[in-house]
Amino acid sequence: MTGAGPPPDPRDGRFQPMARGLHVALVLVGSLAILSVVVPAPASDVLATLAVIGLLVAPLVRVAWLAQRWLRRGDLRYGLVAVSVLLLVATGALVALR
Amino acid sequence: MNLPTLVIVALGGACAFVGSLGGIGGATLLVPTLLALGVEPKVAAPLGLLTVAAGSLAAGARHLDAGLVHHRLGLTIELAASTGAILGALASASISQVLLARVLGVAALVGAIAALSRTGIRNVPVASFGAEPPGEWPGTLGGQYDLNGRAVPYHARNLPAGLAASLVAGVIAGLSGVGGGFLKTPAMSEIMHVPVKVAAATTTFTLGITASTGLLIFAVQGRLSVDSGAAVVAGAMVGGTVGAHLQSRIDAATLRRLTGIILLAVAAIVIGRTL
Repeated sequence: MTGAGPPPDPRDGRFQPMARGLHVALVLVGSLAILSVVVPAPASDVLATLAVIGLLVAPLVRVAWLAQRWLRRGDLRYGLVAVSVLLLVATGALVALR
Repeated sequence: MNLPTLVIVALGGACAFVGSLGGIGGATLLVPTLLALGVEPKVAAPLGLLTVAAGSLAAGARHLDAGLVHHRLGLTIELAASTGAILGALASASISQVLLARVLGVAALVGAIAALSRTGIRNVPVASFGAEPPGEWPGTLGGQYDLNGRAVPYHARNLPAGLAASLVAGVIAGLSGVGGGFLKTPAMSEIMHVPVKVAAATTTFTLGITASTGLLIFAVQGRLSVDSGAAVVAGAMVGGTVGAHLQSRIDAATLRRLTGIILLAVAAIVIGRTL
């Protein structure tokens, strides 16, 4: 047996894509929000709207990414939990529309 | 709302800065502060949730890298919290301004008690878990995190009670615009026996979802002002990021005590104005 050491743990770095996405979202939303304060209207309104939309959407995209990852890996219980959270959010918006 | 934009930016930054240092969230300070400055609860609540969402996004990557977030646990309790947030947000438009202000005052008071009373170490390092990477264990509500180079395993307990506490936290979040983190984190750590660091990081993750839920409803109801909202987000992101960087250098217990005292003062002012 060679002294190659233990194989890498498959759980290492599993959330790196999500962490990178959060970094990008943070810089994007933060930049839009700061710019919206310093530029004059109507550009400020557009930037402010985009910043708020980005902030609102980012957590939901994160949950959707987790849902597809868990379902693809056979973690059916928590995949369905994640999908249920998204459905709950959508239900709340629909109820508010009435 | 009559507050100048720069004042809103400064308030968002200051509250997120102090909130991230003390681990209680920025909206718990921002919303009562806005009320004390004469802003209506119906206007303050959406701004509070924007601060919550900004803080969650700002801290997310750092917590992920440290293996502190338990996504499965967070989403499980979020089923209850989002339900509460929906109910609270839908009801907030129908509730009187006085009652809403009192709810916020009581929320600040609860936040003060939580900040001033957080103590105790329940989960201890176990050497045999040292070879595994920190993070949640797939398919379970357990995991391990790194404490000064040592692995600390944990597993969430008393799930029904934790779900009930999350439902209450969600209703308060939806009604008042605070994130409810000052209820969720102690519920996870004291009721469900999850380590405080993991509870705080997981709560920060779930607060983003709770805030999105409430904000979506506020947007549908036409109560979301994007110009003042973006201003508070700009301040909160800067303040929250700076606060998170400084957090490791300043004694957390001292900051929690300071934050608790500030919250007590804010609660007294907000409730006193309604009497």
